Amino acid sequence: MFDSAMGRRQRGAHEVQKLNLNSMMDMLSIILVFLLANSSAEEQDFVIAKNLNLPNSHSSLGFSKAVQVKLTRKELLIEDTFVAKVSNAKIVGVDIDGGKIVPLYNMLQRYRSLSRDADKTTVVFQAEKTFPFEVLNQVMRTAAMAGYPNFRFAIQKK
Amino acid sequence: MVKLHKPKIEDLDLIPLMNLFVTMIPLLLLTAAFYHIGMVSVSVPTQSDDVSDLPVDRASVTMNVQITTNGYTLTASSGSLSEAELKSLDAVIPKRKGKYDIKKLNTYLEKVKRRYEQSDTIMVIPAPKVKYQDMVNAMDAARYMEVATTSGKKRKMALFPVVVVSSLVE
Repeated sequence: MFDSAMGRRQRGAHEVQKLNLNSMMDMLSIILVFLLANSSAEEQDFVIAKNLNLPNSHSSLGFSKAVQVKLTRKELLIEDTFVAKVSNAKIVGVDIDGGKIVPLYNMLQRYRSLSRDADKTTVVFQAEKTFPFEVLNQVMRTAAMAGYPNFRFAIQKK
Repeated sequence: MVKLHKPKIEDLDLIPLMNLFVTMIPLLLLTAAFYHIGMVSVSVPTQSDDVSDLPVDRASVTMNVQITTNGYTLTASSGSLSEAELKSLDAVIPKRKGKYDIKKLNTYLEKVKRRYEQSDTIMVIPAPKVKYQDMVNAMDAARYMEVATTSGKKRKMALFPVVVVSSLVE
């Protein structure tokens, strides 16, 4: 009895045990399917500004390219260019003439003259979801005066 | 007597497939978006020399939703309906337990849409202190309604897809 057990052990030492990859393959397949479902080349182009929580919405409208105006908790930006400081949900330290944010108006007009986009009337607007309408309205009104009356509010899909 | 040999089942070589998976995973991780971004299309009213945007046919109205800190106030405008007809579309939807009653707003607008099927424009007029998220919620309720299909599934149908954001004239 001892001999036979010993023999088995010796034989086993020379056998190369194959790694069972089936469970590993199952796991990788699940990860792959999940990632394929979540990958999107389109959303790669869209950069959300820092210090910003976008509102949640059921909208199914996809991303479209246009000049981006970002109203974060700390600053107002066009693309990544600083326009004005934001403090306590108010735009501060800039000239406001008849409800028009002067530096924003000037920069938007410059963008409009330089833009090669087919749609020169639309702004993609990223804004903090907790901000009151009065501050958003200031930005929207300025953009409309600068020739951008159409907006695409960036939202986080529910 | 002839001995029948059982055919030996060879294990499938999964290593190349695993290599492929292992290369694809980092690539997909780079392009994965766990934060799904969408857009809501709106416009602001502009002054023009053209004719009024108010609907002139009897099958459509423009709804106005005023968002105040107390709830929603709805009114309608049209170029062809009488004052009395427009007045019948007025409504006030107060907040419920401190929250805006989005469901009631959606139901009310659905009723208006069924009566005036050609309607597609809604004017959203938030008060200065209304939060951006509340404004987006109202626009969501105004854009689509859910309709049950014959198969029992629910389908989204356009309610007032053209949203114009305006402010109260003080």
